[in-house]
Order: sequence, then structure tokens, then C-alpha cells
Amino acid sequence: MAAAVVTSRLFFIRLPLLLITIVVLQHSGVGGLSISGIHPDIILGLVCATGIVAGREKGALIGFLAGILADSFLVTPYGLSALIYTVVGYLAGELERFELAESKIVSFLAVGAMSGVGVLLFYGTEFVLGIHNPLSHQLLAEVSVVSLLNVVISPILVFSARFSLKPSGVDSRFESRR
Amino acid sequence: MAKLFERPRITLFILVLASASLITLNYRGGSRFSFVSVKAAVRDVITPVRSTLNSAFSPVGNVITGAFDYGSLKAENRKLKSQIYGAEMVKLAAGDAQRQLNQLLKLDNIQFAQGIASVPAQVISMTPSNLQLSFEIDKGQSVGIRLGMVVVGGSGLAGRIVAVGSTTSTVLMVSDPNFAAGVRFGSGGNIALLNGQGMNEPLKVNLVDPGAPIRVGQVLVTSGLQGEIFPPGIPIAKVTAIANPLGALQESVKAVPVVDYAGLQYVRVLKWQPPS
Repeated sequence: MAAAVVTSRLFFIRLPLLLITIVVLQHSGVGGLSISGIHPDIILGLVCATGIVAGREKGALIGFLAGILADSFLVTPYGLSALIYTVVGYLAGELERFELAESKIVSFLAVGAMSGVGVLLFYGTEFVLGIHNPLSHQLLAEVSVVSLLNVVISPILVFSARFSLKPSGVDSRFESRR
Repeated sequence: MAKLFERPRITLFILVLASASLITLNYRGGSRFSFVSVKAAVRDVITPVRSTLNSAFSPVGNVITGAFDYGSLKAENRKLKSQIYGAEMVKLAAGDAQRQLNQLLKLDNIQFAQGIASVPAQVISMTPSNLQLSFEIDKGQSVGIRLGMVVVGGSGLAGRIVAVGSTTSTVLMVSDPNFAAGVRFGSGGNIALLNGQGMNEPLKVNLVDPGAPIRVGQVLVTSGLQGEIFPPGIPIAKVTAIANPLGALQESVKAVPVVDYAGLQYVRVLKWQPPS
């Protein structure tokens, strides 16, 4: 019981730290890298990793919080990234049912695939809101580049998500909420 | 069979509802719910951390590199290399300083937007996002910068202010899909509408009548018509392609921004507000 309480406290310390670190990294050195002008989306990658590691509910929740933080740096409507990341986190959590996290390689590939889904959702939602026209070659390039880059950094993201959300001595209450 | 109202689904529903509410408030809530101050507060908190992190990363990289070179036998070699490197750095720094000086001098000799009070600012980063094309400058509310103000580079319009913190601001580039401006071209002052099309895409010039006096290489300037959010006469784009599809009601015109964002280091924020 005492171990569970300690784990919960760690969770509430590690989670905000992880989110702030990822947002800062996205908007500093790592996010500045680009291929053909397309940047990696490590926030999206983390949300996918969280869903795969910790399940649907945690994936959606972390997605929402990460999206709110990400929206603060963008001129897109407040809540847009939160909406997309919430859905992506939940969908990634659905994959957790298939126990993808058991195989490292598969979980890394799943992070990339879900990142691609996230980019598609962004384009689709922006199209619905009249912000962006998705029918361009840029869409395919962005899906490919973001997925590929997120696969490359997925080991770090999966490890970070596991470290923050599912430390050793797993909280039984945490498990039951998936 | 899985329960329809299981807890993760309820959580998803609540979070999606919250997000949708925020988006709706953005569009329908007017200035009261624009979340500008919330965004500015978050940015003000994160910006110092970000700067610190940027500064922190470079010494770590240097230490790792240096560790591999450690050894008494290589010491002399390293010393010589460092001297050569230092000399090259001085040369490069001198070249960079000259380039920066040229940009600043160019800003001081701007022929357009004369008589409008302005604030010089340095470009500190290009926003690393695939969702918007923007860059950040090192001046904010503390020097009187406000939302919607116009930003010019050495050769023309660089964008407009879309987010303001106390010490930094975000400038939306001309090529962003959210960007639109009324433009003039030709000796008759024909008007058209310029729209950004996104990353790696040319700008689109709309509402150009067939047969209008427009040609490749022509510079488009802001129209400054009533209700326009930019002052008149600022160069904004250069025409790169014109096509007149059979039966079309308007010419298909493509253009590129006159400002070279890749080399942009200094800009000037015009303290100009559109007339109400």
C-alpha cells in the first residue's frame, strides 16, 4: 500500500516534468531539426508512446494536457492540438490491448504509425475548420517524415513514458483504470 | 463484450468535449475568450526554461566531444587545431558581423512605410511546427508591441504579429495558409487578394481579372484599402507564374514572398494599427 502511494506521488511529479521537458524540446533544439522544412513532432510521439505503454485513459489524458501546452505556442485555435492529441492518445491506447508494448520493435513502429495517423487527423480537422487544404503533396511528405522521425526517437519516448507513468512497483489502481 | 460506458470512453468523451468547447470559444467567444493572455502566460513561463536548455545543451556536447580527444599525446595536436579553429572562427564571426551590419543598414534605409513609428527586433527562432509558418522575435509587450502589428524585413513585408509575450512575439509569415492581404499591381493600381498556401508552396494571387496588366517578376504591394490590416505600399511578393485557363473568370497567378526568411535576422515592427 505504501509503495502504491509513493508511486502515485512520483507520477504527479514526473508527469508535469516530462510534459514540460518535451514541449521545451519541441520548441528548442530538437524541434528545430527539419527535413524539407518538415519538423519532427515529438509531442505527438510522446502521446503515442504514452497510449501504447499506459493504456487508453492515460493516453487520452496526457494527450489533452500535452495539446493544451502545445496550443500555447501556436496560432491555431486553442484546443485544436488538445483534441487531436486526446484522440491519438486514446487510439494508441487501444493498441495496448494487443500487448504491443511487450515487443519493443513493434511498439516503436506503432509510435511511428500512430504519429502518421495524428498528422492525418491534424490535416483533416484543419480542413474542416477551413484552415488548411489537405490535398497537396505536402501531406504525404509530412506524414512520412513525422512517422519516420518519431520511429527513430521512439525508444527514448517509450522509455520516458514508461519511466513517468509505469515505474517499477506498478500501482494496482493505475492498472485497473485502463 | 466490452461495456459501452466504460471509464476510458467516458474520459475520452469528457476530454473531447472540453477540447471542442475551447475551439468553439475561440471562434464564437470574441475577444473575451481569445485565450491570448493564457497563451502569453504559458510562453512567458516556458521561454526562460527553453533558453536555459538551449544554453545547457551546447556545453554537454562540447564535453562529450572533448572526452574522446583526451590524451597527453594528442594535447599538442589539439592545441594547434584549436588555434586554427579560433582563427577561422574570428574570420567567420567578422563575416557574420558584416552580414548583420548590412541587414541593419538595409532596415534603416527602408523606403516604404515612412513616417510610421517602429521598433527594431531580432529574429530568435523559426517556430518548429508543421502547423504554422512563423518566427519569433526578441521584443514583446514591454516595448509596446501589440497583436496585429505589421513586421517588415529589409525588402518588404515579413508578416504580422499573432502572439505577444512580455519579451517575445510570434510573427505569422506571408506563406502561412492563415495569411491573407489585399495587394495592388500595375500602373492602374489593380487590386487582388494574396493568400499563403503553406510550406514549400507558392503564394496564390486571387481575383486577378483576365487581361489585367500583370507580368512575371512584377512586385505586388499592400493595397491599404479601407478595412485592410496593412498600411499601403509595402512590397509583399513577386509574381513567378501566370496562367490564363480557357474560360476561367480569373487569371491563375503564383508569387513568392519578397522577404528571404532563411536569411532573415533583423526586422522592424511597425506600430501601426488599422483604422477602426
